[in-house]
Order: sequence, then structure tokens, then C-alpha cells
Amino acid sequence: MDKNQFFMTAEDVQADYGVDLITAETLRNGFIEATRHMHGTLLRSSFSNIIRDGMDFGVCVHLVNDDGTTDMVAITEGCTQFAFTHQHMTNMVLDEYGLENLGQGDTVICNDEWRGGIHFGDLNLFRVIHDADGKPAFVVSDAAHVFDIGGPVAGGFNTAAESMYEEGLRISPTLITSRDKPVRSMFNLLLENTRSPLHMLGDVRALLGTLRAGEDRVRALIDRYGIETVKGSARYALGLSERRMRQALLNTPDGDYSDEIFLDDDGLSTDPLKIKVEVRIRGAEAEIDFSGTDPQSLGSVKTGWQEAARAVVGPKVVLDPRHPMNGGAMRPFQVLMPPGSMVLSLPPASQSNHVEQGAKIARLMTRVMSQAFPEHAVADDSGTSGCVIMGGVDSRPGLEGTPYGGVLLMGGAWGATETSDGISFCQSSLFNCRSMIIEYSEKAMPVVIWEHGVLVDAAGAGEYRGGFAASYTYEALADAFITPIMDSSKFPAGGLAGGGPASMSFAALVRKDDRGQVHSFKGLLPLERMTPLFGAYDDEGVPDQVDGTWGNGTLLQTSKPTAYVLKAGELMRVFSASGGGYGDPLKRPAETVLYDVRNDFTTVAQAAEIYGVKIDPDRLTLDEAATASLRERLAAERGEGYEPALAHPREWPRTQAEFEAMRKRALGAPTAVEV
Amino acid sequence: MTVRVGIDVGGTFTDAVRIDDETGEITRAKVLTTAHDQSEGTMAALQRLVDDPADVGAFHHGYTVGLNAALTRTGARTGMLVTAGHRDTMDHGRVWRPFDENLYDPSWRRPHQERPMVERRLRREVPERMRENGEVLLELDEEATREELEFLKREGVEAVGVCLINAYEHPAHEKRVREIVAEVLPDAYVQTSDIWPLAREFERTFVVALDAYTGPPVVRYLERLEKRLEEAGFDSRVEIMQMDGGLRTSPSVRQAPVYTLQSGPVAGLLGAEGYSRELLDGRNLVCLDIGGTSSDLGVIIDGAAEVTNEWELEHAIPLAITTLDVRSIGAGGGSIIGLDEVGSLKVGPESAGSEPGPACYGRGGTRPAMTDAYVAMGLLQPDLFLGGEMKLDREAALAALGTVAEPLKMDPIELAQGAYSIANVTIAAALARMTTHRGYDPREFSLLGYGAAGPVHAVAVARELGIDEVVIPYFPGGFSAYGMVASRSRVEYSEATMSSLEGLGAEALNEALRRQAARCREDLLAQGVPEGEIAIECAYYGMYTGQGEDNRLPLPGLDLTDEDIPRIVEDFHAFYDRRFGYRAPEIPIFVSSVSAVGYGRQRPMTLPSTAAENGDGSGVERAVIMRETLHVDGGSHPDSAFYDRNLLRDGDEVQGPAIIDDHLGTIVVNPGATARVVSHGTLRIEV
Repeated sequence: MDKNQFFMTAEDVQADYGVDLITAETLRNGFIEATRHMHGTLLRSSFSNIIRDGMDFGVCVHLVNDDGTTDMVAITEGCTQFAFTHQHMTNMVLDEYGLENLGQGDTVICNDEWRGGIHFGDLNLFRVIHDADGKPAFVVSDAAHVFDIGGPVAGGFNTAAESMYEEGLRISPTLITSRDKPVRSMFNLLLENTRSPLHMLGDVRALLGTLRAGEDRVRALIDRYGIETVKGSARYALGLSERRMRQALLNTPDGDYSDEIFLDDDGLSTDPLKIKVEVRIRGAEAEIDFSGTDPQSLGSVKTGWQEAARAVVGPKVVLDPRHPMNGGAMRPFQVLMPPGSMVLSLPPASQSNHVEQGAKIARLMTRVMSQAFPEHAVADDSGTSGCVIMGGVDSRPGLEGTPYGGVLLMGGAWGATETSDGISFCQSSLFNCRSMIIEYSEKAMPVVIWEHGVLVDAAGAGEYRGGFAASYTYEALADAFITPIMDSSKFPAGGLAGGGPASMSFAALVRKDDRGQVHSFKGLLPLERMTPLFGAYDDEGVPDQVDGTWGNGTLLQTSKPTAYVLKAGELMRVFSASGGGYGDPLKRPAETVLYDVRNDFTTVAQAAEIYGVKIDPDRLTLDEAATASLRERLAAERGEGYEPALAHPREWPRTQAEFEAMRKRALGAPTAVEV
Repeated sequence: MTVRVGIDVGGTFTDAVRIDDETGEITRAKVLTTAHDQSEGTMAALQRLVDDPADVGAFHHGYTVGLNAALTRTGARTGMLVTAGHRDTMDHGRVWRPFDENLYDPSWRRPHQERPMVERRLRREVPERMRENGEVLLELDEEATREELEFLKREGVEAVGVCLINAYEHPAHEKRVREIVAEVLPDAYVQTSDIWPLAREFERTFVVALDAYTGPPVVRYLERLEKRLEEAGFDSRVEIMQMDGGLRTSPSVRQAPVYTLQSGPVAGLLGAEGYSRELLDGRNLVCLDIGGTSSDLGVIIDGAAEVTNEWELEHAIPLAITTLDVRSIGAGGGSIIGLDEVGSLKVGPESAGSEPGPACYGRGGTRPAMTDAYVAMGLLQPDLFLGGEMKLDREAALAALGTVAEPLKMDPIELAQGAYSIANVTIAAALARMTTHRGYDPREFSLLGYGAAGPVHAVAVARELGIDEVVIPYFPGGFSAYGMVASRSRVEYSEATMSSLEGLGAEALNEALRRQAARCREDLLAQGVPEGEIAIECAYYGMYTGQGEDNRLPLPGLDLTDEDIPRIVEDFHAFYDRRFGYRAPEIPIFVSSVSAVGYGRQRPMTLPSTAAENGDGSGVERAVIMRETLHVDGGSHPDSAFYDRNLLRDGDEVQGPAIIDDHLGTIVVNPGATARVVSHGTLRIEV
């Protein structure tokens, strides 16, 4: 195999693109800078909490090719899924509207998932940049998730929707500015079909301002370097990403790699939903085939076309993580999807809760690519976006009757690799949204955020462990509609190379004590104050994902309720799934295990049982001799093929008294480090 | 007493400048930084400048004690007390990953998760909860608080930070916790939300934690320094440079040492402010300070440096206090020129450091760095480097460049020019983020270049930005120490308002501002600033209601009337339109906080007095020390002149391509540019 088949010399670059290497690199960065400026503009000037805090948006520059198609040259992500979808959406929208029908200062808006959108809540805007002869040369686009797009459910995530007619406003490609003047009819349509018109107006203005900023930057490049050089450099930037991806594929052994993954359910039935993929790598290309995937579900957890693009996030993470994304990196991949399946559902299918399938696709594709390229393998991530949509009508003095809404984001975790623990507090590689500021959220919404932490023992075990499960507790001060976006409650993330599986999502209602306290320590709380909402529990109400039963004694039989009513004064606690471990836990350095125990990430019990590390439970010191003999014994007992138990907390306190005892004991442990 | 001294401790060198206010004479010294105790190098520098420390009337000083402690995680053993349920605020980093190299990288972990300053064991939870409106949802559990403090006591913490949710506006619980800390840990260094009483728990937690973590080492350092100064006979005030560009007396720094985390790059901007004011008719400046490993960038608008509240130590370790806006990027003389597997060129952020350093240093470095490119291009001459103190190896530089050039089928000198160009573009892009992205037109600016390598790139970067004039001050290499001498006292106090502008009205704004102005006054008086010299300026942080990112904007003063409000509103809309491309006149403006800033007297800026006689512009040949080929801007220029700066006189003109050698710095006059020597040894280059 030629290690450098895709290497280009400076002469090659000049010959292929008509631009010298230095200028090509300069302008490649110039496009990225243009999107950085767009990112800063949108972030700071938008209104919806999901945009300004959550960063659920993407901003891009595209090249117009001679045949009228476009290629995405640069993006600044915010939410990473747009780095994969906007390449195609831009083509779909402009192909339909007609590039020739768009003049200077015209902007097209579209939110249709059947025309390249992801769900109706994302507004996508497109603006064409013409050259001196009036020929379309570049396109700037932005995509952002506005809080509300109308429809029966505030916030747009209508998991229970059976068709797209229950998911809010659908907008086919339509003018929203004409020669830089707002098209009033389009603004009316938007503002009169949302619960939050002021936010909508602000967000649309911010999206338009962002496109103008992007156009200014691209025009400055054209003025400085000339149109042909800038276009040649755009082709270079696309080609560079393509060459990197192809080179990485070439370094991956040819072969067929396959796996499958399950969504918990669609919120309407309790049946798991299978997604199956086979990736066939041949030389510097790959075919991704979703044949064998389940037929489309009734609830809105499936998608129309998006996975054809979003599937590439797996190869990106495993093969070429350190380079910026653009359309060129997608060229080596062909995707096959069976019509009428979860990944190619047919109209009028609902798709508003597309999120968790996206996270599952990212996990599945990362897993399959890890088979193909074991040196860069990554254990499973939590496979969920780890968030909750909250909305309703405020009842606080002075705010009575005001609609409110937002996203409460706790995040999940990534899996471990051959060289590192997985990160905690992180979304799927397909999203990367940001959590909100609690002190602002509590002003803006009738909510109290009581907790945002991690759950002890809940990381896939291994020489390198996965990231931990996140937990989040919030109290509604006015009746609220809650739509959890947290799959992975039935099927755990897997470990790799002897590492262990991760914990799964679950949720509960929580009661405060008489003083008004929400007891919580290491993510644990007294079970007598907890009412199971969804997830796996044993007969006594203990969250138990090893021996318990899913739905046992729970208020709900799905992890995907739509607009669950959390009454004023009620508290909900949600736990996201965590990440899988990598490698034999007995090889994790004992000092590192001790560190995790001392910092309340791991219990003394789990340290002994899984890691073979003996730690004095009161002094929290390492017993080296006992550890050596325990590890020797466990290694002999376990043998080949051993898999650590699914990650789970070892010490749920049942009563408040037990909880207090646990907390007091932890307080008593004197220091064991040099200070 | 008329002698003022500024001493700036940097990573490698400690720079010192002495100004005699009567004669205007400026002298400078440079000594090696003494990492184990920066006060040694500081005293050594002082002794180079003055015979008797008792003669020094003003001693302005900046150090990196706090910054080093934070970066190397060697600060005080610190415990944090936080609202129950929020122990992981420092680790969650608001969940997102930065959108640079790490975005898709599965091995990346957030810096504070990977290398905590305050490890999780020492972050303890206090049962209590305030609502945003001040209602007590859960009373403070004092007994549990004591238990947690006893735990921290056994853990041997030296410092305690307290940051409770909603305490920025409702601090009753936090104040009580502080009292209990004083009972249980009477000797501990304690910090609370008081240091930055504004909304945003994530940012505030880090302000408190960074202060608690770096406070004790900074305080110890100041004690050592003052002892040494006293022993040497110094008997005036020690004034410390803060990140907001102002000075604080040494005793008052102890209230909030984190304000002095970093000083050098900020001091450079103060020097730039002085130049803008005194010499350049208030011209707007972009500032380019390039050293060995990084470029520090700043912007001066209407004679004042921009301020920000977005400084970060590392990703998701923010320090949200008001600081002068200095952005650092990993592009410097040591930046490595590298290649990826398919032929894409990259300059930095990896750096050759000082060991082995660039290949041309001849200390065993084999990978090419930017300094090697300078040598290959002829910009740096082996015999002129550091005034001849260190000889550079041109062959080694070319050989190192060859390792990258050869696979690309480029000539090493061609590669060097390419790397120079990429570095220029990288720097220009970062400067554009501070100008163009904020709605400023770079063409209305001049570019001020300083630091050892700033003047190497200044003209080229100016051309990238469309700026038509470059200014190079005298002493470009020690400019930060010079700026430090020019600084003045500054304090800032803020108050959360969290309400709409119209809802607040002029009177409520005045009351809040007067409260904070009174604190400024009290603080400055305690520091010995005379009442008559105190000046107060006011600002607010505003955004449209419903947004999340506020913007700092000026307020006219403490005596607002309701008639002023419409003008403030209109100014906000105008600012917003310029910066973000739209205005939203129907949406109320939300004021999240107001700030009062108190200043001491602005001392007159003494500009260097140099080369008394004026040249007539014709005899510039007298300053030529050599002629060599320069490979720059895509061409080769044989017999280009090298000038000795000390031999240039006011009025002289130098045509590019040319090099002006400043002994401790190299000024590149690119082809087509013309440098003129103006008063005070300043060069103004028409690019």
C-alpha cells in the first residue's frame, strides 16, 4: 500500500487548481475564518436559548461549481450534524429554487426535512454571492434551531407525532429577503405560527445578519485575490479534505464490517428499533449499506434522508478527527438506504425527534469503523443527546401568561480509547451543544436547577474507563411540559478490548424533605424519596440495570414521553447513559483507581470487584499487597472473554438515614496524600 | 522624586525601564527571569537601573507568579464550597467541545476534567438554595457546612473559595458561610462571589477558584519582594499591574490577587495607548507583539485599549473579570513549520521552545521553525542576532527547511517565504476577529509592531488587513516594561441589575452606579490616591431582552436623567447594528450589570528622547551597516541595505526592501514600503 498516494507537491497543486500552494492554504483558512465570523455573529446576536446558549446551529460557505451544484468549503459547527447535512441541503434547495432566480440580496429560507433539513425546528437560510459578471460564485448558508415552530407541542419535539402534519410549520424554499428587503409575507408566516414570535423575529434577524457578515468576508477575499484564485482555492480546500479521508481509508484494510444497534422505542410502542449497517471498504472508498434496518416507526424518532450524510461522522471520528470538516471529506462514501426504513422513512412520516437516531448512527458508525481501524478504535459513547425540552406558560408575578421554553442539557459521555479515558459531560460527536447558564435560565423560566453532576460507578470499566453518566435535577415552579430526549435506556454502550459496558439512561421523580432539601451525594439519593419514571428497576424500586426489569414499577413505559406534565413543585431527576471502557480493568494503574475513589467517581466496592484494587474504606488508602494478590486471583478466575459487569452504582441508600450514614462516612475519611 | 521604574517579568526575560521625568531620559535593562523566585530577577533588574533604590519614586511591576501557578497546577491546595448539587460546575465546561482541532477527537478531554486545579474531592457541597428572586428555597445548613469545612481542614487546604448559586444578587448564605469559614479555618485564604458579584455561575465559580488557587502564592511573592526592596532601601509604594491595565498598590492586591494573573501583554497595550495619545493624534491602533512562542494581539480605539470579560486560561477555564483585551495565538519565532500526510502546510501552534529551539540556534533542533525561515529569507543575519551575542547557523536553517520543502518539491527559501506568508495570514485573521468581526474597518487603523519579532511581520500583516501605516516604537523589544511605567491606578466595582433599561430608569441606575463609585473612591483613597485625582467612568452590560451574551457599553456618568435614556437606547441600537448587522427597536434592552471604574491621575507619558539632531533625509547611507540579498514577498532582492537604528536620525527615510537592525529586534521594511524616522525614535512605515 502506498502510504502517500494522495500527497500533492506544490507543483501538483499549481497544475490541478491553478493556484500556488501558499495562496491555496491561505484562502482555505480564509474560508474557515469567514465562518468563524459568522459563528460569532450568530452566537452573540440570537435569541432562542437553544441557539445562543445551546449553540445548536451551523454556518457555512459553499462553492458554486460550473455545473450549478455546490460544495461546502468550510463550516464552523456549533452543532456538528450540520457539517454533514448542509453540503446536501444547499444543493437540494438551490436546485429546486434555481440559482438563476436568485439575485444580489435575495435570501431563501427552508426548513423542510424532505429537502435537506433535519427537522422543522431548524431554519436554514441561503444567500448567493455573485462574481463581477453576475454569475453565482459562492453561497453562504446558516442553520439554527429556533425554540418553537408551532404545531401541537411547544418546542417542536413531538415524539408521539405520527405524521409531519403534527410537527409544526413546514416551509419549502421561499424568499425571505428580496434585494435585502424583508419579504413581509414570509415574516408574517413565521411570526404568526410560533409561540415565541419575539424570539423568532430576533433569531431570523440574527440569521440574516450572519449571512451578510459571511458574504462580506468572502467578498473581501475575492476583491483581494481575484475570483479565479478564490474558486481554485475552494476546490483545493475540498480536495484536501477528500485526500485526507481517502488516505485514511487506504490505510484501513479492505473488508466488510457490520453491526447493528437499537433505539429503545418510538414513544408509542415499547418495541426496540433496529438499525443495521455494513460498511464495505475498498481501497480509498467505502460503501455504507443500511439494508436490514427496521421498517419506519410510527413515532417521530426516524428520519427521511439525513443519515446518508450523518453516517460520515463515524469515519470522521475514527479516521480523521483533527481536521476541519467540509464537503470533500464526504466524497469517498456512498450510502445505500432501504426506502420505508428507519433511515429512509417516506412522507408523510414524522421526524421531529430525529435526535436520538442520529446519536445512535454516530455510535454505530464509530463502532463499525473501529472494527476496521482498531488502532484508532473508540468504545461506545452514551448514544444520546442527554437533554430535556421544557416549556409551558409562566405564572410568576409579572410574567403570568408568558410562554417560555428551552433546553435543559446535561450531556452524556464518550467511550474510552487505547490511550485515554472517555470524556464526561459531553454530547454525541454528532451534536456538541452547550449547556445553559443556570442563573440566566432561572430568570427566564419558572425552573430551579438543583443538580448537574455525575453518577458514581457509572462509567464503563477498563484500563481506560468511559466517561460518566450525567445526572440533572430540576423543579418546575409552574406546570411544565417535559419532553426528555434521552434514549439508551434499554441497550448499553459497549466496551472494547476487554473494557466494560456503560450504564443506561433512567429517570425518576424526586421529593424534597420537610426542610426543602434535595438530598444528593455522588449522584445518589435516598430511594424513599424517588419515584421511578422510566428505566430498569428491581422489585424494591432500586435502579438496577444488571438484574432489574425495564419498566418495573415505573410511571412510564417509554423513555420518550411527549410533553409529560411536571406539575408546579414537582422535581424530576434524569440520568444519561455513559460511555464504554477500553482494555482490561485489571491493568488500570491502582493509583488511578485510588484517585477515582478519592474523588467519589468510583466506590471502594467497584474498585475491588472490577479493578481488583483494595482500598481501605475509611482511610481511602491503597493496600498494595492485597491489590497484587486480588488482581492475580481475578485474572486467573476471569480468563479469556471476560467482560466486566455493566457499570452501575454499588451503594444506593434506601432511606434518608442510610443516605446520611453514607455521607458521614465519606466525611470521616482523613487525607491520604501529602499536603 | 522623579525616577519611575517599570519591571515586567516574562517567561524568559525580565525587562525593566527607568524614566527620569525631569530629563526625559529612558534607560532599559534585561535580565534572565528567575523562575524559582521572580523577586531575585526583579531586584537584579532594578539594581541595573538605579544606584540607590531610595531614589525611585514610582515602582510599577508585573509578574507571572499567578499565571505560572495556574498553568502548571501548582497553586494553593484549595477547597471550594458550592451549592449542593453543583460540585461539578468546574468540570462540565458547559458540555461543549471547542470547534478547533479537538472537535471530533475522541481522546480529547476538557482541561479542568483532565488536570483539575481544585480536584473533585476538595469541591464540597453546602445544603442551601436561593431562588433568583431572593426567596430562600432551602435554608443554609450550618452544621453540614461546618462538617464540610472540618473535612477541608483535615485535607490541609490553604485556601477556600465560596461560590453559591444566585449569590451574585442574594449573598446572605454566602456571607454566613464566609463567617463559618473564618471560625473553622481562621488562617485560610478566603474568596467569595464578592470578587465578581455578577450572574453566570460557571464564570463566577472560576473567578473565585482562580483567585483562591493563585492568591496565596502571589501574596507570598509580594511579601518576599517587599522584604527585599525594604532591605535595599526602597521606601516608596509598590504598584502592581493588573489585567485590566491599571495599577493597584501591593497591599490592596491582596484583596483580589487574580487580577494580576498576567501583566506583560497588557502593559504593551498601555504603551500603545500612550503612543496613540501622545504621538499619533488618537489614531486607532492594532497591536502586534510577537515573541518566541506566541503573538499577543490587541486593539486601541480612540486612545484606549478594548476591554473584555472573555479571557480564558485554557478552554473552559474562564476568567470573566474585566481585562484589557489581549488575544494570544500560537504563532511566534519558535513556531514549527510542518506538513501533514497529504501535503498541507502548517505553521504552529507547536513550538520549538527555547530548547532545542529553532535549527539555526545550532542546539540540535532539526525541525524548521519560523526563525529558520527568517534566516533563510535573509531577514535575520547570523552575525547581527541579539547585537552579535549569538551566532545563527544558516546552513542548519536551510537543512531543516529542506526536510519539509523536499517532499513538496519546493525550494527551501520558497518554503520559508510561504511559511512567512501563512504566519502573516494567521495573525491577520486573528486581528480581523478583533476589528472586522466587531464592525471596525481596519483601514482606519495603524498597526503598532513590537516584541522581538513583531516588526518582522508588521508591514506584511498590515497589508493583509488593508492597513496603510505601520508604527514601530523605540525599544520594541522592551515595550511592555515601558507601558507599565505609563500606567495609572484603576479599580472597578460592578453590581448586577438584571432588568430592562426602561424598567430600571435613570434613578435606579444612578443609585447602583453611585454605590459602586463610592466603593471605587474608598478603594483608591485607601491606596493613597488623592481625592482630587480620582476620575470615575461608568459602563453597563446590555443585550436585547431574551438574549444571553451581553455587551459592555459606556454610560455618560452618575447623574443620568430620564432624558438620557432614549440616547442610551439609540446608542445601543447603533452599536448593535454595526456589530451584528441588525437592530431590534421593539425589544427592550436588558441591563445585566453596571460598573463604575475609578482611575488615579494619568501621568504624562514620557516618550523616549533620542538622537537629538534631525537628519535631512539625504544622508541615510551613513547608517548602512551591510548589504545582503533578501528573499521576501515572492522575490529576491540582492544588495538590500541593513541599517543600524542607532545611526538613523529624525527625518531619515528608508526605502524597502531593507532591514533596520535594532540590536534586540529586527524591523523589516518590505519591498515597496517606506520607513520614516519621526520624533522620539519612532518609525512610521508607509506600507
